[in-house]
Amino acid sequence: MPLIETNGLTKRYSSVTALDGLTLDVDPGIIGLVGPNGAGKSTLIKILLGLVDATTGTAEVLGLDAAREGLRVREVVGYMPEHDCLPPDQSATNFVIHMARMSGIPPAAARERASEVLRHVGLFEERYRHMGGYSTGMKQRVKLAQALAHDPQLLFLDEPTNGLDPQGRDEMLDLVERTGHEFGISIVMSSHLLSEIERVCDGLIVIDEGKLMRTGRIAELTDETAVLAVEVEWDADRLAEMLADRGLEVQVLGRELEIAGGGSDGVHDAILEAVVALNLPLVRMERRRRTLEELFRPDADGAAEASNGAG
Amino acid sequence: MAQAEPTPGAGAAGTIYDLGYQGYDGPRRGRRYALWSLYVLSVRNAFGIGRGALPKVMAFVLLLFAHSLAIIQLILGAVLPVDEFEFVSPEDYYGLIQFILVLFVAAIASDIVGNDRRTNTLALYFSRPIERDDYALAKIAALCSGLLALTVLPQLLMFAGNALGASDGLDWVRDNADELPRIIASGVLLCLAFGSLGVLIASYAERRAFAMISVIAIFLVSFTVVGVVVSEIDNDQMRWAIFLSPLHVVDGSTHYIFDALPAVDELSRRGEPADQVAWADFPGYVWPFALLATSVVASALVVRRYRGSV
Repeated sequence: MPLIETNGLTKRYSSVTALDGLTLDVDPGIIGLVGPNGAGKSTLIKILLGLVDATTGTAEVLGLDAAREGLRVREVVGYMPEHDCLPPDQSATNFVIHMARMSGIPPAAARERASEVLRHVGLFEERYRHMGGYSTGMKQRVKLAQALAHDPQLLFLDEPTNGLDPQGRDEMLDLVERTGHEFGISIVMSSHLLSEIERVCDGLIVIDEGKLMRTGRIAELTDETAVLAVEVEWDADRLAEMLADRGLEVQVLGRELEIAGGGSDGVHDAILEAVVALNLPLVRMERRRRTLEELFRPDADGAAEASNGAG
Repeated sequence: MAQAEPTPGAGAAGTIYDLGYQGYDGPRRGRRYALWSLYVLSVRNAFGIGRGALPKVMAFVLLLFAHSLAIIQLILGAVLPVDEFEFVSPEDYYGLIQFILVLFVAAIASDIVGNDRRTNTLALYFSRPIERDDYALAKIAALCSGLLALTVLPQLLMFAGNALGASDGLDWVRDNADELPRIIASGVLLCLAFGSLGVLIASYAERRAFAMISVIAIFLVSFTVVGVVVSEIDNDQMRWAIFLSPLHVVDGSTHYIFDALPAVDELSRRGEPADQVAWADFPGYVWPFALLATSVVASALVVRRYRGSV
């Protein structure tokens, strides 16, 4: 069963089109949702939670129709909003217990779940304190905990690393990855930082101005390219010259050479012969992988290929 | 994984402890249970339970003031050597404590609905298996229930006290048994109207101070202005103005239910609110219906308010 399936999903507000014919088919896993501000990420999440009706098109979450079965969707889905959403005059424990009960968990089980998820996100003694005195990092953890309180099958995380310092960011990403990969809870995580998405996500959805720009598994999107990266200790320039003489397309980047046409054996042999002939210490030779960042450079010629490959 | 450095303060939050994660296979009780949880929490919050000291003190003081007349009645009834003593009659009770009731609505409504909006917790509620209409109605029900403790409860207390003070208590209860349904009907109607109006006003006022002032202003300004209008102006259209003052309508409804609407004479237009209600000269049954209609319209507006917000 696909995690999320949408068909021609369109949402128009009086003057703005937030989503424009979005068709998606997303498999379980950790999915990154990327797009600039105002791209329609939040609208998409709200439609999938059954909180906003689409103008046209359909959306299914875990096989449930989001528009008609919103209650059932929200029973098995957790949501962590981007903005601050915690009452300052309550303790994290009481708040998470209450939120578990709001998801239908009976009182005794709600208390157990609250201590379970607060432990999971790394809050201990401080969970009895009022949340008004929490740091941003602690608040983000409580927000994640309340989304996990009812043991959902799917989590929507809206910018979970927002406002965190680098260490807090690292820890939140670890937490997201463990929640997704070790505990088998699928996650849709929005972020504007591709490096974060690349680090923890299995899949990617890119939207802009309400349209789907790209979707696929991260591994496919960052597939090996036909470019060979060769690194030598010194004399990269001489090696480049020699290879160019043999008719290869070479670019020098410091100690590293990028050589096109890595797909054919002849190129490998030519490089090895040249290295031996110049008696250079070879550090490494490998097929280059794309990074997600590269895919989004407007002038990256690899982008079009990747999108075809993933589509 | 390593223990966090023993730095004081927020240090322990810095490390994620890896103790595994337990799923949940137990029952999920769904929408009605979730709403009940929301309602119970809101009623508790109304009386400051589970919150700081100040809300508790405030709720307790208002509760005490609302009960003060009933308590005085009890004490005097027990001490004075007369058989049937009435310090305050039930149909006048709400009129005498109406400012306490307005203060309670002003203070609690902004807590019950305003906090969730101010702190954005609303987004978390709406991501739960409840509908937005459910949320709105649960909040109205919570404020109405809180108000019951300030209206029906002191009336019942007074009823019990009068029975105990009478020489033959059972006889007294038999003679006055018709008061019980009247106490409950008039009290419930008042609570529905005040509760729904309070939530309506607070759901539009973002800031707490603004919400409190709005509630007080709307109830008291309308009360004063309508009082002046009815007493000073004598024509047929102006008498409709009385429906703009919830406190007047409550007075009319309560007096009608206790069958105690005052007789009309030329003096009544400048008299008590109940006299002014009589002066406006509508059939008595209009008042409880007007109160009920106010509750329905206010509740519908609250529901509409929450449908619009995401």
